[in-house]
Parts: sequence; C-alpha cells; structure tokens
Amino acid sequence: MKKWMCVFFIALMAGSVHAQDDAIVKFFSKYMENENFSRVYISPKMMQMAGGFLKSNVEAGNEEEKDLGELMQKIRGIRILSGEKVNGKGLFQEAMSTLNRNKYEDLMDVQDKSSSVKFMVREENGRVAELLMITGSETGFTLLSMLGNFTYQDLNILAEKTNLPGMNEYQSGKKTAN
Amino acid sequence: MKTFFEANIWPLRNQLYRMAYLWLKNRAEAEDAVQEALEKAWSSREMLQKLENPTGWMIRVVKNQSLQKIREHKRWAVLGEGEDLPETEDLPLEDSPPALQLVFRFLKELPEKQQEIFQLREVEGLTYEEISEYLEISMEQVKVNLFRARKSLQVFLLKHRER
Amino acid sequence: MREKTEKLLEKYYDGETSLAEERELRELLLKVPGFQEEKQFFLGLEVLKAIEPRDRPVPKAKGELSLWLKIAAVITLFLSLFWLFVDQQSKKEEALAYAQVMEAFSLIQENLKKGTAPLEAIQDMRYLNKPNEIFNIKNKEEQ
Repeated sequence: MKKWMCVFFIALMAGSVHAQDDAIVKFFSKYMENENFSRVYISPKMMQMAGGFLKSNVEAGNEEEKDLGELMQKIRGIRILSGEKVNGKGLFQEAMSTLNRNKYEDLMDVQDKSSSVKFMVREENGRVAELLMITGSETGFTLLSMLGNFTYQDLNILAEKTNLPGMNEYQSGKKTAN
Repeated sequence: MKTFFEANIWPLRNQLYRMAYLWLKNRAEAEDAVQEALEKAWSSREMLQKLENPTGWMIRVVKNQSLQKIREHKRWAVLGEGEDLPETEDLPLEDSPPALQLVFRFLKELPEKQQEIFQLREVEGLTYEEISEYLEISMEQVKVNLFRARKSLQVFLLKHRER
Repeated sequence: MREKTEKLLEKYYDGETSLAEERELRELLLKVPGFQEEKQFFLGLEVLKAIEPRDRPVPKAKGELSLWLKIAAVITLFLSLFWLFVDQQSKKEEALAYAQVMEAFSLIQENLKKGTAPLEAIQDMRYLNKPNEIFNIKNKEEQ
C-alpha cells in the first residue's frame, strides 16, 4: 500500500510540475496570436550580444558597467507579454490563477486603486531561477518572466542602480524608435 | 583553353616577321617591329576580338612599325656625318645569301601594294581569298596586282640573265 | 619535262596558276636543267620562307599576371567590404539586443520602485522626531 502511495505521490508531483510549466507557457501561448498583445523574447544569444555591446561601448573601469555585465551573464532569457488596450485587472487575476503558487514565492506586492504589481520568484538551490513580474491596470497588462541563475543581491542592483548605461534612454516612458 | 590572343594573334608571328623583314631587311629590327605590333595588339585585345579581320589589322600595324623604323633610320642618316649615307630607303643589309638579295632587289622595284601581295602569295602561300581578306582589298585587285608583279618578275629575270 | 616547265612558267607569269601548280613549278625547277635565274629567285623565296623570328615571350604572361592581380584585388576588396558589413550587422544586432535588455530592465526597475517608494517615504521620516524603535529604520537598513 505504501509503495503505491509513493508511486502515486511521485506521479502527482511530476504531473504537477509539468502542469505548472504548462500553465505559464499556456498563458503566454494563449495570447501569442492575439493582436492586442505584443511579445518580446530575449534569447540567451541576445543576452550574450547585449553583454558584448556593453563591453565594447562602455569603459571597463566603470563600476556600473561591471555590475550590469555580471547581471547580464546570469540571465538566460527574458520573456515579456504586454497589452495596452486590454482589461489589465482581469488579466492580472487570470494570470494569478493560472500560476502554481507552490513554486513561486511572493517577493513584492503593490496594490492601489488603479493598478496591481506583483513580483514573484522561483528558487532553485538557494538561487533565483526565475523572476516573474505581473502588472495589471485599466490601461494595460504586463507579464514578464526572467530566467537565469541570480541572487537577491543581483535583483538589488536592478532595483537601485539608476545610472546603468542606457537605463534612461530605454525607460518605457521614453521609448526609442524601434 | 587558349585565349583569343593565343589562338588567333600569336600564331601570326612568323608570317608577320617575314613581312617586317621584307621591309626592314634586318632580323633584329624585324623582330622588334613584330614584337611592338604584338604588344599593341595585346593591349587592344578586346577591340581586336570584335574586328572582322584582326589579321589585316596586325599586318597594318606591323607595316606601320616597320615604316616608322625606316623613317627613324633615315633621320639618323641625315644627322650623321654624311660620309657614307646609306641608301635612301634601306637599312644596312645584313650578310644575306645572294639568292635572298636577288629577291630583295626585285621587290624594291615593285610598288608597295604589289610587294605585299607578292610576298603573301609567294612566300606565305596564301590563296587569293586570304590575301584579299588580310589586305582588305577585292579579289580583282589581288589578281591584277599579282599579275603585274609577275610580269615585272619576268622582265627582271630576263634583264638579270642578260647581265 | 622542259616543255612542261616552260608552259607552267608561262602560266605563272600570266598570273593564272593555282597554288598547287605553283608548287609543281618549283619542284620541276629543281629537276630541270637551265632556268638559272628562276632557280635562284625561287631559292631566294625559299630562304625567305624559312626565316623565323627568335623566340620571344608571349605578351600574355605579363598581361595575365596583372589580370590575376586585378582579380585578386577585386576579390580582396569585396571580401573586406563583406566582412565590414557583417561586422556592422552584428554590431547593430548587439546594439538592438542591448536596447531590448535595457528596456526590460527599466520595466522591472520601474515597477520595483513602486514597491520601494513607500519605504523611501518612511526613510524620509527619519528626519522627523519620531522614536526610532517604533519604525526600526536602522535595522531595516542593515537588513
């Protein structure tokens, strides 16, 4: 009986892990073909190229450059799904329900009357394997997934350093022509 | 794969040399004239390829080069001391066999056109057709001029006998 | 044979012989007695016929070398332009990748700030006369 319980339990776990991956992927793929959404996929190769660009364009002594470079190396890829003329709040709820909360830990949660922002992390061996950001408001929705192998300190760099080369230029408010 | 130049122009060398030799009566000068003509042909090879009669062009160039050399020698002769002025049109004749000298003496008497046609027929063994093609003259002209040249030869040899 | 030669010679002087007949005439003249002048003359022609120039290099050698050089130069030029282009393209791609990454980072940072902004507000309160213990600011900073 115990044996069967073990096997069943493992199967369930395996199934659920599979299910959890499928949920995120499903969420992304559900809106893949939707015209109201824009998708960004930054591959490992692109992360490499970005690192290369940084190296060849910013003087080596720069501390910001060093931190940024290290951070880039730890990131494997970034996936972003965003929509502007969509029901942000509704999508926010939908995303939350599709996620397997067991795998993700809340990092930050900000809610006010107009918008919701949630950051979650998935840990693996004591380091962050995935950073999830979900924002939803009346005017928009964003789901961002950043995969890699980084620490909370690395996330700190992202949060605090505002002098990172290019940070100003690329703020979503002042989008450079694509 | 032979280039146009290799296949069509370079093989004419010997023939052109003999023509130049006819004019210049000097081996080295004749060689120079032909080489100069060939170099000109080489640098104009694209144009040459498009010509209908590249051989005729070559003959003309060789002739011009030869005549130029003759003129140059004439000039030197005039500038020289004057003691032993070489004959008006001849370059110093090399030690050539008497038979050859006979031929030259005869050819000297002929007008230019007849000389050319005679040489192309008697030395190079070309047909009337070929001669008319190379020199860009009519077959009729070839016949007439060769006839005249041969007649002159008959007279020349007769005179020679009577000497 | 003498008759034949004479006849052929007559035809020759009239400009009526074919190349084959002319060849025949020359052969006959070699065999037949007399005709000294003709013999000598035709001998002279044979000598002239045999004259050949000394060997000279064909102009092509020189020309061909420079042709190959020209070809090589053109290929080199194209290759270097190509690599320049490829390099430029990869630099463009790098810049593009960088831009996208920085955009993503900005997005994250922006939203992270939404969470930390209230904290900053609290920090500012340091300068007000509130007991530190209540807000435990110092400890939070050290964390």
